[in-house]
Amino acid sequence: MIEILATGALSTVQDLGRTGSLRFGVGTSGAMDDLALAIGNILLGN
Amino acid sequence: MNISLLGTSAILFEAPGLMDIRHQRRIWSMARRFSSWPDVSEAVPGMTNLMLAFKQPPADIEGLICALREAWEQEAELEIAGRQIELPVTYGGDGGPHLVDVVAHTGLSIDEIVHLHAAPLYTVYALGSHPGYCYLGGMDPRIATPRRKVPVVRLPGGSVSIGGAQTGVSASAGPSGWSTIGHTEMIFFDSSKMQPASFSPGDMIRFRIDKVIK
Repeated sequence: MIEILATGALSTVQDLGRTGSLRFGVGTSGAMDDLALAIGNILLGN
Repeated sequence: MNISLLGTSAILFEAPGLMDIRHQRRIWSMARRFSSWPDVSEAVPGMTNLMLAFKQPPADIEGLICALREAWEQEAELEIAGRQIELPVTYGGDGGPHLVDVVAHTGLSIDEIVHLHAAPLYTVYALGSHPGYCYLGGMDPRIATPRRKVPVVRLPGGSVSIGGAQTGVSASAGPSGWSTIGHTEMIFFDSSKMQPASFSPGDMIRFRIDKVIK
């Protein structure tokens, strides 16, 4: 588990992002390379 | 008008002319029309602009551009019977640190600025910037104040700010380049709800003067 104590304007935690909520002001976000993210998580046993 | 591709799977339509309610109602109407297109995953109204996001990169971009142009020319204004919500605002003090900058820019007194800001019934034109944030139309141009040269890194949620000819309330803590003149208490976004944003385009906001700290 990661405990986030304080954040700055440019620090982010990325997952695979989310679609379909742009009209509520929620950006898609997510990792730029979702394949690398998925492989990394598999390698780490997540 | 200006139409530009955003990467491979979205397109942005920017309407010509003024940022006013009549143009915005046409944008709402276009959003409704295009959201039912089978290839469109989301039609997102902005401030007199419209973004279409696609499920797959569209094959016929020229046809799409023509459809957007035609829709803008032909679209009737969509009247939305929105709700009306009153937000009590404490102007100035710790929650409105830049009220003095609006005084300096406009040459108006604090009382004049507060009354001009609280007078209109503002329309939610669009949501964006951050979850639940409302872009509002209807501010009195006499209190328009340019965006700050140096942004503030962290403002609390509920900050009532002026940026150029617009005003708005930050829905959560974050950075901002606008001048913050006051503070209100309101939950703008609840991610546990199916409809997570408290406001929708067409809703109306009135700011009530709760307190003025000089």
